[in-house]
Amino acid sequence: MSNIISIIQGLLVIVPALISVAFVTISERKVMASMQRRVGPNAVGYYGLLQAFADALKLLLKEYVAPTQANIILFFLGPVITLIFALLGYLVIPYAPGTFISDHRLGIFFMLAVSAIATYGILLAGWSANSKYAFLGSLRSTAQLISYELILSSVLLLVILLTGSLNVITIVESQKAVSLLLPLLPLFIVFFIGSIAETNRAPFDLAEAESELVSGFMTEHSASIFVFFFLAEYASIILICILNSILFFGGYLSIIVFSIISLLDLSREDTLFHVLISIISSSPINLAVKTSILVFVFIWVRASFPRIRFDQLMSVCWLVLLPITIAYVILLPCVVSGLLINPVNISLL
Amino acid sequence: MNNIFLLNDYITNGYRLEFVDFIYIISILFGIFTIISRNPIVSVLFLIGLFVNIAGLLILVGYDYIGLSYILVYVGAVSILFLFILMLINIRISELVSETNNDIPLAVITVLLFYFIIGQVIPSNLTDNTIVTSLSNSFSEVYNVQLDNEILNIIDLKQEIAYASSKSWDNSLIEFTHITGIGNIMYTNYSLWLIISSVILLVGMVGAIVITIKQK
Repeated sequence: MSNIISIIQGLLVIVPALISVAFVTISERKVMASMQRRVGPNAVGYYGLLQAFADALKLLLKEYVAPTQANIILFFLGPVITLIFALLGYLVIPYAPGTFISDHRLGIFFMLAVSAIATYGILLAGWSANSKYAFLGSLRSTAQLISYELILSSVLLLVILLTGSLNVITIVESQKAVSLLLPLLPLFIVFFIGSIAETNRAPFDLAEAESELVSGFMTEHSASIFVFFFLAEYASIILICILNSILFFGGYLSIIVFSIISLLDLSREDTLFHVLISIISSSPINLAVKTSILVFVFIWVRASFPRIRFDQLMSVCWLVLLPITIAYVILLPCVVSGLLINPVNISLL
Repeated sequence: MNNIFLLNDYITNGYRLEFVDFIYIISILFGIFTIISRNPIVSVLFLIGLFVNIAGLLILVGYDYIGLSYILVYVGAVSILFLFILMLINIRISELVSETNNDIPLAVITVLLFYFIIGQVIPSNLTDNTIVTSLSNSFSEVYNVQLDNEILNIIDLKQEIAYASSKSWDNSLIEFTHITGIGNIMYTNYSLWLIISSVILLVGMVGAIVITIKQK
């Protein structure tokens, strides 16, 4: 019985994640169309809302072609690994107080480990296709992912320092007074740039620069195998936006500090106003709004900036972002211990 | 001991002994495939599979921090760079085919001799009357008390209960950091195995140097 319940729990997370992936693709096409003064998809469904499902259906019905000299097992294993490990990250995310699959005490660590394995899918898919374009694309992509993972994990180190826990829920709950955006604003910008690069998005989408590499590591993948890559890419975009909003905007907590307002009128405990505030101050809608805004910024960035060269990409990572991050990693603990403001782990209180 | 609190183990969620056996078999197979596969990239892929397996084993038996850092360090950083370099080198697999069947008797003799000597020298039971046995016995006694309790008669719970105790706060007292525990065990009772594994590692390193050195 408990097995069935856990399967249902998994489906309750994965199916909405995949549906939201579909709507992110359609919103990306519509938003970019508006920014470029086009109409965008408008034929399928109301205002083209069902365009993504029509595309998915088309791709699933197509015939898949594998290159004759390809390593067939790895050719199909690569996309599967990418999709599975992109979706596994949703396991530790708290959507509302008490609404999560796993309250793992090493949640952030788990996400890092999972994203480390997801890199292999890209590497395997590019190598096994036995094509120079796919191979070069996968090497570029892997080098980029390894480099930018360094930045993301260094920033996470500081978040862990300030919250005193690796648990995601503790990180969210410790931002009840003020979100970590305030003390870590420069690092949020670094983290956001890093997360754009980590998801292989424009202007860092060197892995699939059409003018040089056809379509990158997925050049030879077609039909349903391509759908796997597509879903994994957008699922990881949504996941990293959720991670951004959890680390820096307080996750499901409201950005406006309602607890201060409620402190002002403690006499009226049972009023409708009070109940409303307690609902608004921590509800899944907060997380949804924050994540949607961040996804919109991802699309906005894609429509605004031209693609940079590969050497520029690497020098931005190693010579600009990483020194800033390391400087902060040294500075912030010094400030914290110098001013005697050691953060308290709220899980121990 | 008036009331017994049932403490569900949240770390080893769904730990079953059969899974551990399964992982043992798979990791032994992956280790063999790492050695015998001709293509170096496939060989490294089997090695990565072995790493993931061992990390899964560690997480399953409760060492989740060490298991996850195993994935993060070995799989996420070391092996991926290894694989990266191997992919960039242009290797023709036909050139790598060499006659290695002559080495098999030598390998078998070496392994048998090694284990014979080790078996002669090392005492069979290292943990008699030590801290480890007393600790594990104290855990298992409490466990048995719970399982033999016929009043509760809960058969299904047997798999879920990690240990039972008379105090609710025992849960937080028993828990100590994994690295400390492993370090304590490894450098005291099992120090002999540490030395043996380091000798094996040394032989591996020397062997790799001997194979690749150029004869003048």
